[in-house]
Amino acid sequence: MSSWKQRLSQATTDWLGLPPDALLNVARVTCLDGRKVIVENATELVRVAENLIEIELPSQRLMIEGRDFVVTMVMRREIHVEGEVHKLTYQPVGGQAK
Amino acid sequence: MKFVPRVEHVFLGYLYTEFRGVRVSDVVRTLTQSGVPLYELRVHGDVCRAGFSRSDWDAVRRVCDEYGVEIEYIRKAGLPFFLWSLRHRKSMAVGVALFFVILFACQSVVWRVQVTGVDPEDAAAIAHAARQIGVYQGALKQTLPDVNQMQAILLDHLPNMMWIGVNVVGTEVRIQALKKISGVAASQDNPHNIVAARPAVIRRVLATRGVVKVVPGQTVQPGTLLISGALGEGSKEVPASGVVLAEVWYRSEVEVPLHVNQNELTGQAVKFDTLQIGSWNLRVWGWRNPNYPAYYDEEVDTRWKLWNHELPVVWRQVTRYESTRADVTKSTDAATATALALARQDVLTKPGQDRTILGQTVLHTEVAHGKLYATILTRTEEDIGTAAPIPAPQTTEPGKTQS
Repeated sequence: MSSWKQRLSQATTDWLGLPPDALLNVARVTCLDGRKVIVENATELVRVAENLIEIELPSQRLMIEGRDFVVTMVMRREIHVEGEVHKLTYQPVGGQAK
Repeated sequence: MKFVPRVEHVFLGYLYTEFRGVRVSDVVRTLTQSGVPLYELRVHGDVCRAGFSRSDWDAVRRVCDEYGVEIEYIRKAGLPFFLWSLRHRKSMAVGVALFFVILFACQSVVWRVQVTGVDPEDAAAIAHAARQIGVYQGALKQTLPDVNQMQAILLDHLPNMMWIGVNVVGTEVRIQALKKISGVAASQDNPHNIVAARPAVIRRVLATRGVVKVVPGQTVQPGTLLISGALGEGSKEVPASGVVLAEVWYRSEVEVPLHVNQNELTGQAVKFDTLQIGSWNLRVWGWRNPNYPAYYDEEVDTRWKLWNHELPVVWRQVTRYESTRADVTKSTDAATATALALARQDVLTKPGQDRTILGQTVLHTEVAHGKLYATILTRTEEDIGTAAPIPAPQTTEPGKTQS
């Protein structure tokens, strides 16, 4: 997306008072009671382990740390994770040493 | 292990599997990248459990083969697998099918015919009449006539009923009836005379009781005494009875058009079928479309019924006959013959008793405005007698009582 388009979307979102994920290409992470995490607009499920889930977002990477993780649903743009969540960490894509 | 089947999985089938291999995480990544929805995904090192829809099976297998990962089923669920498992239990499948067949059969049969509103004797008569037209216990509901038709037929069969209502409720036919309450019968036992009802010339008098007061050839006016119920000069009064056949004249004014526009079929015809869906008219078969200057359409409609509901789709078979307009001119003689026949019909359809036509005479004809105007006299023989009370003797013959 060219930068003027980005700026226009940003301005429209601000002006109309919409939630940012409605128009902009950003991810929404919903955490319910530390038991369930719903990630909308996710790009990719990078890694699944019992105590760590890595999810690629449009401009960042989300790491969910905890215990007994089960990915209850993986759809094209949406990921549901259940388990005991201890920590949610955002990492810029460039800074990932992988 | 928690397993929550989703609605689509119940119908499409759902597989719960275990992937084993070093590159399990690559499999998961590739699958999510390619947009295959996975459920209940759980990873323990090199072992991964995941559920997916049966329709994604090929994609999952291909990816697993690519990364050298083994697949093991843990559970298969859903309608397709259930049906597949029924393969070994044919009797159960037959049972399920039979259940629906019996259910359908049971609800398409009339289980009870109930007649209400009349006493048991009449109810039995109504039930019998209903049986005649195909309404009985065990009759197929599909074969029942239309409710209005049933009512009309039943009323025809049972003239002593005032009103019959038929109601089909589920598998029960409810017939409600109301009996006619007969009015007070006009007593024929009271002494009375027979008098003329209309002007006529007496031809024959066949009296069964009473004194005949007229002779053949006599002209009578309405009210003229024909058969007297007073016997022995009023000493005894009886109800007079008998048939008085007399010649009655009817004048009919008839007009017959001499020029008639008549449509005649040429014998050329095309057939086509149309499907009427609501207000649409869709031609579905027969594509010849000749340009007949004038035509006559004969339509045969086929309607479908699903249980008691008429579908809004009508199959119409149309036969389009070519016709030509022809002007037919009648001669005056032919028109007169038509006028005589019309007059005859006119007289025969008048209310009253049976009458025989003795003869017809054309009194006057006139051709005007392309029509033949004719006045026709029709002579008939009919019973002109009607009952009337015997007048008090002093008013009719005051002199006689005095002497």
